[in-house]
Amino acid sequence: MESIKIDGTENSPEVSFDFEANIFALRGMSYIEDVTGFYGSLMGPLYAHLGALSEATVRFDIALSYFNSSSARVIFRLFEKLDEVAEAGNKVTIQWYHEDDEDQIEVGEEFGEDLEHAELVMVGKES
Amino acid sequence: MNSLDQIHAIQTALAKQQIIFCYAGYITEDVLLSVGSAIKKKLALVQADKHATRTVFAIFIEEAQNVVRYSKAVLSGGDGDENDALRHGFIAVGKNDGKYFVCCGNPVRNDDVARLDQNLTHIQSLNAEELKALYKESLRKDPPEGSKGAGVGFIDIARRASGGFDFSFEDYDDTHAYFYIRAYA
Repeated sequence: MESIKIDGTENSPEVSFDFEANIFALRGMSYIEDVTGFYGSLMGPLYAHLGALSEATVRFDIALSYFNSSSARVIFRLFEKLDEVAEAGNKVTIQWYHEDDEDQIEVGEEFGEDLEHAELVMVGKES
Repeated sequence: MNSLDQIHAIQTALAKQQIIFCYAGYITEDVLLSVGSAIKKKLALVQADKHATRTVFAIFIEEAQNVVRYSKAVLSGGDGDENDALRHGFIAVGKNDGKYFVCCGNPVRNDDVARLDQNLTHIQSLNAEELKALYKESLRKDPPEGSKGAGVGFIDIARRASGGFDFSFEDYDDTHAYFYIRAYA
């Protein structure tokens, strides 16, 4: 599948989905009001691709300085999906960039505590 | 008193409430973007710390998007006459006793007051652990059909507002109340 690259805006994240390398990233801000409109067309192909993988190595970078509660729902679901992908026999790493902010660390850890198969790596400013 | 006196009285009253930023008028996505960036700039000017700035910004976005969502949800099912009233909102950022607050107000239908009141009173009664559990539970579920923004947004506000939040419903017109929520970062 062809890679997806979308530039970030003031309220929507930069999206980089490399389906060949299985390296995916969301960076920047995410507080669009119509999250379904933004993420709907992205998550469909992503989930279809991830669901078909076996014995692959997948990395997902999440480097969002701020996301609103509607985006939180999308990211929470993404964690669940990535955990399923890991359970299906793939090596899945989620890298959570938190900029050393206490709330961002907390939310990353909260989302991560339900993971049983995928690995969560917390990345601060210095690392 | 002539009209400029009255406007000055409003300005003075805002200053007395220690409001450093204020917007009243239509709240749309565009307004939300510009007001959001104005708030960030203002907080940078007064040298608020980074974490406080993030929190104020996050609370502002949730409160303002609640107004946008609420008016959309109500208007999609109703007549166009309410349009002007429901998209109107009031946003203020201020500082009381060293703590920043974000206050947002908008008209809500009288029919929705009891539900909102109950929902917010419940959220207010929860401790941090209970809020976290409710937050995750709400993220797992799809937003309720015809959700009028009373879902996960208020929980997010409650979690970020380390100084707590309060709310009230004031008289507005025959069919609406003016709803205010004020959260302390």
